[in-house]
Amino acid sequence: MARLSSANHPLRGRGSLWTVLLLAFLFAPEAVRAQVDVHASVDATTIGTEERVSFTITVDGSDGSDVQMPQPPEAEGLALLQTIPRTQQSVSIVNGQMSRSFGYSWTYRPTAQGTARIEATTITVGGREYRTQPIQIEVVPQNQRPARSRTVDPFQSLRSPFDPPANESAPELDASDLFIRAVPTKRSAWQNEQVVIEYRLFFREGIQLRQSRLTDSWDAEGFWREELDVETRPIPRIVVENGLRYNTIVLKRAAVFPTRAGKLTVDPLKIESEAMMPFGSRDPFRSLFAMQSRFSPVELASPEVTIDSRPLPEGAPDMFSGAVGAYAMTVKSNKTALDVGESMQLTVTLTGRGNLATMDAPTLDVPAAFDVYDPDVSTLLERSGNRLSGSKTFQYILIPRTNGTFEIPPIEFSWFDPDTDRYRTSRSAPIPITVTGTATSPLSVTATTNGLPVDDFAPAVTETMAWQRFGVPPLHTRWWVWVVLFLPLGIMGGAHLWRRHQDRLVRDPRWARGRRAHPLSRTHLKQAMELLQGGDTKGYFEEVERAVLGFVGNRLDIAEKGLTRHQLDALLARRGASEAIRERLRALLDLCDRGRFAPASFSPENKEDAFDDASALIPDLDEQVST
Amino acid sequence: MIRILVIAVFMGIAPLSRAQDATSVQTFDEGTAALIDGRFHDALRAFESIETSGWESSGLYYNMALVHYRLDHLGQAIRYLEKARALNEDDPRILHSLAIAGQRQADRFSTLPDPFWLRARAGLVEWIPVGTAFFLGLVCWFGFVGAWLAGTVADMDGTWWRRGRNAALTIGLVLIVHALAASIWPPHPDRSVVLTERLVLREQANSDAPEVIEVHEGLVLKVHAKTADWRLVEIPNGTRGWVLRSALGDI
Repeated sequence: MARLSSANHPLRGRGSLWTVLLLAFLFAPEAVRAQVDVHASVDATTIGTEERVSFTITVDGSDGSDVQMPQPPEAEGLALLQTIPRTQQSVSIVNGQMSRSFGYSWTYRPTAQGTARIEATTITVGGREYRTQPIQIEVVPQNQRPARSRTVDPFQSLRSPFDPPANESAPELDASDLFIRAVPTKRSAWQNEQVVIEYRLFFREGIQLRQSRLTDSWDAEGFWREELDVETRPIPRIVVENGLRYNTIVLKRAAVFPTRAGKLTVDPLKIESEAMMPFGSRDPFRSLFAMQSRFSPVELASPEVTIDSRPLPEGAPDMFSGAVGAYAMTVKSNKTALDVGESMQLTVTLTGRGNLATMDAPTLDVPAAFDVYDPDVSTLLERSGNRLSGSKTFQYILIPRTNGTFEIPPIEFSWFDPDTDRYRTSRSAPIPITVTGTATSPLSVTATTNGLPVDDFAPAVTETMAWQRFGVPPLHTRWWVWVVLFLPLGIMGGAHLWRRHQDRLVRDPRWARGRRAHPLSRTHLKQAMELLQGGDTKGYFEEVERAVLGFVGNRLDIAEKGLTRHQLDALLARRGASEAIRERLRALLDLCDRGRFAPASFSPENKEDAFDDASALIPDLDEQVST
Repeated sequence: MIRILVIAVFMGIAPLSRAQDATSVQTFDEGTAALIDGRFHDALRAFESIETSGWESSGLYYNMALVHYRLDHLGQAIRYLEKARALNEDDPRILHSLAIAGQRQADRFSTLPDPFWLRARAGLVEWIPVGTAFFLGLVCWFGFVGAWLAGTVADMDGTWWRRGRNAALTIGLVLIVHALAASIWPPHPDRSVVLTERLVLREQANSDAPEVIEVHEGLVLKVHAKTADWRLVEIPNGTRGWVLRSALGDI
């Protein structure tokens, strides 16, 4: 195969429109020459030892005026029959477009059985050199040569009438004459990634087809599939495959999306048709009458296409719902200020390449004050290109139920980009919405039996409610709880002790007198001090003496009155009172006697000494005298 | 003298308390007006100031829930609705709004019923609230103490006197023990609401601990244990796990 082309782009670059137009004018011929295509081909790649092979260099896009005649290519195992090439020029106008081609053709004959080779050669077109590729030819014994499927020489009309006639035996089709090729854009794809499969029909020049139709058996299990547009009246394009010239047209183009991971197979594409193999005779009458008989039914099938579908990688964003491709998202709101109950439209548009048909709506999380209705979904698919693209629009109707300033939070859409093997997320800007007006009372159809809205909170509470303090500590943590619980126990304990005390006072007179000793003494001493302060010295000393003797009498449980000092001293001695304390008692009693009978002999300080002595003596006697 | 002081203190506190109550009512009205006007943030500020001052009412909590719902704070809305229900469990507006909020809650768990003894205790506490039980128990207790003192001090005695005294003691102790037990061990554990959009329960109080389950905003959880930063919670189906305290709102 040899297919070379030259592309020149003189218009590329920056500049004003006038500059562009000027350049286009100046370089128009060059631009025309830029459309030149050069093909090198043979009429058969397998020939018998007695056959000939025709080698042709075709220059598409040229009328030959700018083509320098090339040298015939060198050949190995083949002998050139003529050095001057045959030339051909053709002009065709299809759909208003004119195309020209010019060609040189040489004929070779094999010199030996085996693999022959026509080497590369160079041709100059418009001052630019194009180089063909070498072509291999198998030379087999004459009796093993394949049936010549096509005997039409592309430059048959240029052949000399004296040339020997070509093989005019009934032609037979083989697999290389007419076939369908399935070409996927990739054999390994991510799950839900777009793979475009193009089915091309290849047929050798001269073969005519009629009543062609696709069978219904094409299926792609495990794929979501979308048909892409192909031309209804395709113009065959000439290509060279393995050194042979073919016409080719696109039968079908389909975008398939693997819906699961694993090896998935697309069924073969099958067509049924009738093909005619031309004889190649220049006898118009023979061709005319043999035309009908030479169409024969053919069935063609493409090979299966196996796609290795890979599961999507980990780390998908939260918002990812399975979209794979390349997308962009736009979010628009037709209003940002409206009244309660008025509707607004929120339009989310996803544009890009991928499986738009199965794409879910992005998650819309509007404030609860809005009623949101199911979106109106419209999908616009662009099927004319080599890949499926388009846009999908989700149009939401939102109705605010209450007034206020709200914000439509950002809408996020995530997808997996197979070009970069990364997840991507598009995030819209938040949309502030101001709702004015007053909410009307719920309609009967939207209210419960007790007047509450069926799908919203009850209205705000406006009436006065019972207020209370909160954060009150639990009962068991409050100190007063334990006080009021245990204080009665203390009271009960006190009452119990008091009761026991009272009972003993009644039951035990001696103990009762002993318990009374101190209080009575204190009473007498208190009275003595009051008398002293009142200036009654005699009464003062009498009360002091009464306090001391009364205490002793109570402690000893005796009637102190009537006892002599000597008897009192003896009783105290018997009850354990020491000599020293008895001496103190005697001294105090003497002092009191003196005070009663000669009060004028005392200074105010001496008078109080009696009080102090009595106050100190009574506790000491209490300690030493046992009851 | 002491009596005069006590009266003076009470007379001083009572007007302060009424003044605070009036301020709360006034702020509540302002917040409610802002809510009706759609000034949700103003309303929320007003309601929160009342809450900060230590006053509460079911209406306050309900309106706070409504504000949060309008601001799309589902977790906070459910939290304040639950608070409102705790104060006024029969209010149809609160119950209705709780049902509406629940429809937006993402989690749907079956509810594990409490053991019968917990339900019995809860029923008892509901029948005789803690305060009532403590007050009645205290009355019986003081009645017993008075009767005992009368018997001890004033020699009041007799068969029926003793029976009445013992009955008051028994009833009083039962009621007081019930009140204190319900206070120390409430029949309903503390509850919290998930405030974040998603929350992962973990096996231990550690961010690196294995995940137990993921729950979503608005789910009401029982709190069984607390640390400074973590809470051991139980979702309605009985699954337990540790979560960060900051993701919860106490009810």
